[in-house]
Amino acid sequence: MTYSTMRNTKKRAVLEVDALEKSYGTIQAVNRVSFDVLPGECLALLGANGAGKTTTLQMLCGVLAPDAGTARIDGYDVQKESRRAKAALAYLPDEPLLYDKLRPLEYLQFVSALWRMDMGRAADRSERLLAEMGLWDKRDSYCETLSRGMRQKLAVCGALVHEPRLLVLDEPLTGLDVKAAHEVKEILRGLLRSGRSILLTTHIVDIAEQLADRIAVIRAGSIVKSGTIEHFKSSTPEEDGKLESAVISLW
Amino acid sequence: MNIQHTTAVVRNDLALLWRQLGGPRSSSGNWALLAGMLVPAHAMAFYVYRQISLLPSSLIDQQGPRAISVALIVTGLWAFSTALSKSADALSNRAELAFFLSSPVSVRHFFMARYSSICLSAVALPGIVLFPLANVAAVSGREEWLGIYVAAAGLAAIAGAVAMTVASFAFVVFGVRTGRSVLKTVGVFAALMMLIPFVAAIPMDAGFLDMFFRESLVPAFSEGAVLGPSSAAWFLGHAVFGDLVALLRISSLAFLAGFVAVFTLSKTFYRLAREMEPEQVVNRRVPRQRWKTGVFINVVIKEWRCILRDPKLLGDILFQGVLLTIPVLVGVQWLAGPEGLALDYVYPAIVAFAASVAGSLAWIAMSTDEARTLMVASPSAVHSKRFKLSAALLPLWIFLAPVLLAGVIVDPLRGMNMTLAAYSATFSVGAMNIWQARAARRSDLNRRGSGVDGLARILEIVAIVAWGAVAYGLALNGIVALAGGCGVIGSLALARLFRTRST
Repeated sequence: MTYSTMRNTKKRAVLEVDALEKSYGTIQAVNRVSFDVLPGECLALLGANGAGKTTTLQMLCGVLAPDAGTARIDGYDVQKESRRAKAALAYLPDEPLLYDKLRPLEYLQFVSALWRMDMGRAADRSERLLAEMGLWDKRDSYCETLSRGMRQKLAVCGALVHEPRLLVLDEPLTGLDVKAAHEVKEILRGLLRSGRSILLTTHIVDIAEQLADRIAVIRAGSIVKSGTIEHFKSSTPEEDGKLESAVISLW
Repeated sequence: MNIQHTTAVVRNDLALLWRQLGGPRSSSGNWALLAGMLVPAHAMAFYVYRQISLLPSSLIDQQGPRAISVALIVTGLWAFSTALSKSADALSNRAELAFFLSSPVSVRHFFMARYSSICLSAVALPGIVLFPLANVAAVSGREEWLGIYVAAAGLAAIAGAVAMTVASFAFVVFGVRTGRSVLKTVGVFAALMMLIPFVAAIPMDAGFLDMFFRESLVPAFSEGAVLGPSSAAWFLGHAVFGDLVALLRISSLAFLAGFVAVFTLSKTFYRLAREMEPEQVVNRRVPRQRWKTGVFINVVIKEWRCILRDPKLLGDILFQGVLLTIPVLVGVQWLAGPEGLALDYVYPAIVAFAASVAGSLAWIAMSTDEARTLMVASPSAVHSKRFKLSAALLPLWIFLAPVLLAGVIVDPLRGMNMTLAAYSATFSVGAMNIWQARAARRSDLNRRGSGVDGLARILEIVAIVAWGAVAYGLALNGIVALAGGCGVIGSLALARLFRTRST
């Protein structure tokens, strides 16, 4: 489904962000950031290190309180109706949120409990997810013994176990080898096909090009340009028509 | 031998220790903290030395070596316990080993550097108490007391060598994971043995304790079997009281122990470092457990799985409990005098131990969650602090119940006081850890008094000792109970006043 088709169906956005602001002392980390994410859409926030991507995501997930502005997930305000908003959300930071001394199934059990799932359904779903991600053979190992790629895949299992409508991913492919990165990308594409929405941050343009329907470039806490990949390519001042050139000119 | 590598590694260790002391940003704060420790330590040493000087010189000559021997035996046990823990860490820290093994530093030099660092850590804390006493005595004309430096450092060197040998042996025989558990257990027992000199001085009432302590253990100490002029330990006291031959013996033994450890163990250490895999339980099949419904029960299960599967952490929790019980026992000894009964000691000790364990558990739950953001980003976030704290403390409360019940049966009044004090203590140190929570790593449990965490730890220790005083004073001495209560309230108020905002 193209972006224009999504817009034309007039579905309600899964995520609506309006004029979000955050500052640390005198440093304005995020400055009046606004965007939305539609059902089944992937939006990539692109920016250099320290541009404000992670701060933005952390405010959306209730990890940080914004100074101003609102974020609504599935129509619920993250600050005022956090429990309902978070029920539809899964957050995956750049470092997987795992417990070293838990086994994969125990970890998924804990995550399912936090999202208040029916535990019978959670057990079945967890086992299926581990099998799908190729982690079934590691189900009796402690998380501390898993490789970086396996840890990331287990974190993805944790994010998917409660069937969220929106996945918020911070640099989801960092540190993964080529095979693991390919597998995670396939998983994310599958999720998009099943109608889930994804908001991801990355500083690698290729990843955004492969996964995203739309891109927003963030610089010094503000979104300087957003639109579809085609829109970016067509408006690049460089003649090569590459997305990378278009983004770097805004960096 | 290129000693530069060794000194570079030790210098780096000392620099890191210095930065952990008062926080990374404040060098002047570090100096202030150091002065804050050394000035009162010297003032206390001056007071103690003055009291000693007032005694008849014949009594000093007769009892002095014994008292110093006791202090040095405690120092040696402390040094051994600390060195065991540090050796286990040095041998199993894969990130550090990978860094050094891939560097041009030779294994022997690295091993020597680790040995030196371990000896320094082992002597640091007893040194704060003993070295000021030596300084004051030397300034007052008894220069021979400077032998305390040599004796304490020698004991630390011997303890370090023995600990590294035991650690290497444990890792070779049991593997890394079980080896660490064994070392932690031995370390806790060594720390427990530090209580023996204190227990030996406690007058006992009737019963089993009386039989055990009065008839066997106490005579061993008081009548000379352990510390008498004919015992092997006596030469420690003589070394400090001007016997140069004894001093030479300690130094030679320390040098020999260090030399043998460095030159014989470094190859074993190298082999262990390259071969050990810390993943001994990988792929061991475990039976599928029934999934429990409910957020709270799952938080309890998660917290305790993470604690019980980390033997080093568990050992550190118990070790700190033992350590904080000692000042309470000393305080009771001072308050109760020769008429004190064993129960006077048991009840406050249980309260202090419970409070210390509760403090460690609360700190682990509130400050060291490896996936803190996971709970914050979940729909259960509003309950997370309360849940996590209760989850960490619930098994302790359950475990305490039969102990406290037994206390009530033995002596209803003091038992009730102890029950009240024990549960209140766990609640109060738990609350302090909510207010003072800062992101930290579990492996930092033993270092949480340093850096920005210093105030929180000091207040917690004050509260634990104060609860011990309350437990003692409620039945026996109203003024002590009142003083303890003031200590608790004051530390709680300060913890609340200077609460952090990052969890």
